[in-house]
Amino acid sequence: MSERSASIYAGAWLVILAALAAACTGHVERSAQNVLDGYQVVLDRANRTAEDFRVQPLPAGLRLHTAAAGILFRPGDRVEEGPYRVSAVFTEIAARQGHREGYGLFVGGADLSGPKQRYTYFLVRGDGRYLIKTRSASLTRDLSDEWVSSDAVSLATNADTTNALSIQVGEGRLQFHCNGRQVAEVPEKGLVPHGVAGIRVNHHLDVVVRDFRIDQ
Amino acid sequence: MNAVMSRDLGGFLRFYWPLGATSLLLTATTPMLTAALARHVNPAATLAAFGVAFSLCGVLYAPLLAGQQVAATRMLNGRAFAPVVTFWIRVGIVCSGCAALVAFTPIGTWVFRDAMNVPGDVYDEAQLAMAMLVPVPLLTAVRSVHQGRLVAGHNTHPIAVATAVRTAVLAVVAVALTVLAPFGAWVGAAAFTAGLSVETAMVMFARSGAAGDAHAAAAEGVEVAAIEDRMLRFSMPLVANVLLWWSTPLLLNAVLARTPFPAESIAAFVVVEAVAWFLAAPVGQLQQVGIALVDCQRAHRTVGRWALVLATTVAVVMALLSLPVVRGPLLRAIFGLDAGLLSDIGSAMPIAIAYPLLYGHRQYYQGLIVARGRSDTIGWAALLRVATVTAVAIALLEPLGERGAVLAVLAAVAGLAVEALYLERVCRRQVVPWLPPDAWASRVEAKTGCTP
Repeated sequence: MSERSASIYAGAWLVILAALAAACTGHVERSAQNVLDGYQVVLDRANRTAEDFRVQPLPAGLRLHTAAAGILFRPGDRVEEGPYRVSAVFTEIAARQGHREGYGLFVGGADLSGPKQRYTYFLVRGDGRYLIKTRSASLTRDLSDEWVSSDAVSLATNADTTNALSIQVGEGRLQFHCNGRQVAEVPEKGLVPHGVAGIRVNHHLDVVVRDFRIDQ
Repeated sequence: MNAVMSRDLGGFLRFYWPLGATSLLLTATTPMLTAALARHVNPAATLAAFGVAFSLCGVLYAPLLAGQQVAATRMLNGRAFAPVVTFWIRVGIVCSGCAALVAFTPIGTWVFRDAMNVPGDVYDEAQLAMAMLVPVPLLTAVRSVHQGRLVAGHNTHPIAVATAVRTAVLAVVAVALTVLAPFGAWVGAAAFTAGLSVETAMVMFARSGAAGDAHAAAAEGVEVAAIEDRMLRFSMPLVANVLLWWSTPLLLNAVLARTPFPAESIAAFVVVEAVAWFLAAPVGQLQQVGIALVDCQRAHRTVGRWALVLATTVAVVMALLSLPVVRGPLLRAIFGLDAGLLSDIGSAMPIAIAYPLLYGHRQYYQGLIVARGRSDTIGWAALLRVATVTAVAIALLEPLGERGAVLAVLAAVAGLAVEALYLERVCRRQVVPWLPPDAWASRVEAKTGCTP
């Protein structure tokens, strides 16, 4: 093959690949999706859909089937100032041993469907560990030492597993409780603890949420 | 291999099919392991852990792969086999020692957590997988030199058979461990090591026609140290080339670990690489074509055309399999992954169509260059590729951070393109013009006195 033919051949492929690359790039924005009356879901990944985070109303709560990680909240569940407590009871349906995906609560939510999304969250998972993190846009920062083992967190036994979680905000600190026991405490400094409160569930989970409440 | 075979398409296919089959069998191990690991209860973390551990192990065993080229080239030039074996086994022991340091000492924590920024869940599984991969460098050293011995003797069938057996052993061990033991990334690693052990043993004991135990240099009393010194100088750029090749997934994993969704990004990239390199495998041995079949400019034109047809055919097949209507059901059936990860994988697959074209191009011209003793060019080309991959990956981290697999594949393609074009340019200017116009015609004329 002559050098000219080779160059034309290579150039044609590069044009095709550049077109494919251009099709794959481009900014995709995250948005809130209304899933039930008053409830909104914002998924971590902008290329996921509402089908990946299904919410089913139950007589005493909500059942969440997730294929993608995200948050569920009502914009009206907001605390602007003062001490308060957020709590809920989570039951992971047929929690599999070794399944390391977490669920729990978040507080201090702001711009939840926008590019400057911000909140602090507290998750537990079936291997008996909890995690506390703060999120700012796509970046997260550990407030605990990643996933921390705790006797307070119920272990998955291939059956329904229940954990009662709460976050108490006040007196310059955030206290995190699981099944009636305090597992961690972090200072408010550097965090924004007031804002929208709600639920966070990671992917591949089947979770029933009951008794979600905010007490001031 | 005489020039007649390079004239005839049948001769080309007879030479190439065992090598192509070997490449397919060799690369089949990764999608098989990946498909098994994808069914773990934590697929993203398990796939990411396997990818991270395997990419680090790849850097350690990659230098030993050059033993095949070195052994084949040295033996085709009439050198002895024993010094080659001694040299490469020593290197293999050193590399396995490094793997052990990563697996069993705090060095592993520094490498995985600090340098690569791998999340905690992924690190736990990756370190266990690394422990299973410790013997791999030494086994690879032994296997490579014996494969080179067989290539030099034009007896490539045992290579294909041994690789087939390795794939079968790997599959059996992977299934057995999945059923009998707590599952995790370590299962893939253990299966890989078990398969490689069997393959190495088979290749070691296979016979070839060119053992090369007696040759002029040994008879004249040339010291082993002198042989090793020349071998070192020739080998080092080739070793650097292979090392840089295998460091690419490690570099890309380190970049992906810094994306907003590190486990998912790495997991999706692991699957894309497993599928894409398996499909592109038939062009992997075009380097042997460049070494063994091209001895004149006419052979270069003829064989180069066949190589291009082969690479284009593979690319077209990949393009068809990358169509959304085909890839979705296929990936779901093979890997059983959820729509989210499949979406990440599907976005990157079309870009990976470039792999067989660029990789085949690279391999063929590398073969021409290695056969002419220009191993330094290979080293520089590899450096150029890795520099391009790194620069492009870092540049794309911000705009494509949420599409980690696309970021990584784009960076890999950019690097391959730069390397392939550089090698071709060097070849066209400094290698091909020095080849005889027509070696076959020259031989016929010398024998018969007549011009064919």
